[in-house]
Amino acid sequence: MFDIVSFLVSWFPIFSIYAILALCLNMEIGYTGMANFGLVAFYAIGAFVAGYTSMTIFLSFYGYNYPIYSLDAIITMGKIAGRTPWLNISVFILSLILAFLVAGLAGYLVSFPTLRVGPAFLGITILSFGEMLRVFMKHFQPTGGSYGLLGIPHPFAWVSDPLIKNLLFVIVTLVILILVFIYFELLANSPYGRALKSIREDEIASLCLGKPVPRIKAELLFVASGVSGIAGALYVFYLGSVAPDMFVTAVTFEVWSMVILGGRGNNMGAILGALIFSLLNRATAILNFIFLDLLIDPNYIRWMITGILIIIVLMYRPKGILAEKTVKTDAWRIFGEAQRDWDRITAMIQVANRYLKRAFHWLIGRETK
Amino acid sequence: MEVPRELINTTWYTCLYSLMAVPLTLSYRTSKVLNFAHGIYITIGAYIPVFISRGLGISVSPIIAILSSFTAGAILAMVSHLAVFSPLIKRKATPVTLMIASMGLWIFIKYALYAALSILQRSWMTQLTYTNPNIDIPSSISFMGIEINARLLLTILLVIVVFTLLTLFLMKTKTGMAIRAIADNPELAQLTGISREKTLLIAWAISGGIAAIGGFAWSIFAYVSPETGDNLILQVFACSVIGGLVSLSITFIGAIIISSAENLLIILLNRYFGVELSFRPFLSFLILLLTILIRPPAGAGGGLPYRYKITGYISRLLRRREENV
Repeated sequence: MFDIVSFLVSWFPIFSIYAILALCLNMEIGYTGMANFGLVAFYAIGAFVAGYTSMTIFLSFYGYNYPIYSLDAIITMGKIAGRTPWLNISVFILSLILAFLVAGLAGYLVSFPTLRVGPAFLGITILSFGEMLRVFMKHFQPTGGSYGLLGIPHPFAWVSDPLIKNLLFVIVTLVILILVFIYFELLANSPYGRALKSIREDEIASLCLGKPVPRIKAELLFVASGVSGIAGALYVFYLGSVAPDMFVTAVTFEVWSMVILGGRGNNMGAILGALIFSLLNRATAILNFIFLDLLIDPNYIRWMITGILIIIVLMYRPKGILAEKTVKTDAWRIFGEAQRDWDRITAMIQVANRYLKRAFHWLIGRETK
Repeated sequence: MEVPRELINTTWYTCLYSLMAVPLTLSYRTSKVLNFAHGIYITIGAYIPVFISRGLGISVSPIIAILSSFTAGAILAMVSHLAVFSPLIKRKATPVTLMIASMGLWIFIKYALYAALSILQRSWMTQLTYTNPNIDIPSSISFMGIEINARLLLTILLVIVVFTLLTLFLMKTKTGMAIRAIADNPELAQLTGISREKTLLIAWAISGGIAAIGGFAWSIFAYVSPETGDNLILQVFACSVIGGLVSLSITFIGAIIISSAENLLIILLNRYFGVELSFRPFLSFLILLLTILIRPPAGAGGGLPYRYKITGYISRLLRRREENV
C-alpha cells in the first residue's frame, strides 16, 4: 500500500520547489526586509511562461497549427512528447531561462512604483498584484483561460521507464536547488549581502552612508523574482499542467510560514522550513487519500496549524528554529568570535600544560615554583 | 421613472466599500498595524445573520442582525488585539512582523471558519456556503410614487447613521479625542494620562464592528461565502491607499472613486474600446498604482522620507548622468 520509493519521488520535487521559493523569500524578507506578500505572482509568471513556450515550440516544430489550449493540441502532445530527446532538453532549458527573465522583469517593474513607499504599501501593492494576475490569467484566452494548459512535455518524456524518468527529474530539481543555495549563500556573505542587511536594519542610515537603497532593492527583487519564476517553471514540468487557480494567495502564506519557522536571515533555516511544511503537505494528502469521508478536511487543520504556528513563532521565538548566523568576513575571522575561540583554546592548553608540569615534578620529586 | 442600473450599483458599492475601508484606515491610523485579517471581520459579519437565521430557522429583524454582527466583529477585533498585536507590540515588534502576524491570524480564522462551516452543514443539514440570510426586509418600498429597493435604502441609511455616529464619537466625546490623540502622537498622549492599551482596545472594537456591519450590508446585497472578505480585499485596500491610510474622509472619497471606476468607467470602456467586463479589478489595481505614483503616502507607511519625482527621473535619464539617489 505504501511505497517508500514512489513517495520520495513524488515528495522530492515538491520539497525542492518550495525550498527554492523559501530561499527567494528569505533573501527578500530575511536579508533586505522587503515584505513581499505577492511571491505567488512571480511563481505564476514563471509557470505560465514555461508552459506557453514549451507548448508553442513543440507544436510549431512538428508543424501543427492548433491553438495550444485545444483538445487536439493536448492529444498531439501526448504522441510527440517522447520523440526527440534533444528537443525536450533544450526546450526545458530555454523555458527555465525565459521564466527567469520574464519573472525577474515583472519583479523589477513592480518594484518601480513601490520602492519609495514603506513596507505597508509594498505589501498591499504586491499582494494586489498577485490577485490581479490570477484574475487576468483566468480571462486570458491564449493560455487557456481558467482551464489553463494541459499536456506540457516532461523534459525526460523520452525515457520509457517512469521510475527512471522521475528520478532524473528529482536529480535536476535537486541540482538547481543546490545551485540556488550556493548562489544565495555567496551573495549573503559578500559585501553586497552586508549592504542588504544594513537596509533591513535601518534604511535611512544606509542611505546616508551612500548605499543606493532603491537600486539595491530593485536588483534584489529582480533576482529573487526571477529565481521564483524558475521554481514555477519546475512545478509546471513536474505536474504537466498549469491553471490560474493553482496560484492563490495561500501559497504565499505557506512559503512565508516556512521562512518564519525555519529562521529569517538564515538560508539553512529556509530549507528546514520547506522540509517541515512539504512533509506536512504530503501528510495531509495521504490522510485525505486514506480516509475518504472525513468530517473536516485535513487541509483546513493544516492551514489552522500554519496560522497559529506563525503567531507562536513570532511571539516566543522570533528568530525561528535556526537563528541568524554571523556574517563571515575577514575581519570577523581575525578579531571576532573566532579569535576569542582561539584565545580560549590556547588558555586551556596553558592550564593543561601547568598541570602536566606539576605532575611531572611530583614524579621526579621536585617542587614547582 | 427608471434609474439606470449602473448608477444604483455604484451607489450600492460606494456604501459597501466605505463601510469596509473606513475602519481599516481607522485601525491602521491608531495602532499602526496593517491588518490583513480585516477581510475576515467582514466575512464573520456577513455570516452572523446567516448563522442566526439558519440555526434558529427564523427570519431575523435587521436591527438584531446589525447589532449581533457589530458585536461579533468587535469581539473578534478585540480578541485579536489582546491575543496577538498587543503582546507583539510589547515585545517591540517591527511593522513587518505585525503584518506577518496579522496574516497568520487571517489564515487561522479563515480556515477555522471553514472547519466550523463543514461541521454545521452536517448537523443542520443545510447549505451554508453561497447563501443569503433570512432577513425581514420587504423587497421594495413605494415612496411618493417611486419604487425604491428597500435593501438599498437600508444600506444607505446604515452608512449615514454609522458615519454620523462615528464622526460625533471621534469629535465630541473624550474617548474619541483620546483615540485621535493616540493616532497622532502616542508618546505625548500617554504623557497626558491617556491609557494607550484601553484606547487602542476601543479603536479596535469600533473598526472591527464597522467592518462587520459592512459584511452584513454585503449579505443583503449578494451571496455569502467564506471567501467574501478576501475577494473584496483589493478594493478595500485601494480605497484606504487613496486615503493614504490616514484620512477617514478621503477614504470615503476613495470608495466613491473605486466604485464608480468599477461600475461606470468599465461600462464606458466596454462600449467604446471593447474592454471585457471581467477586467473590472484591473481598474482598482491601476488606481492603486497611480495613487502611489502621483500622491505617494510618504511617511505614513514608514517609507523613506523623500518624494517620488517621475519628471526628475526622466530628465536624469535624458542627461545621462550617474544616478545618485
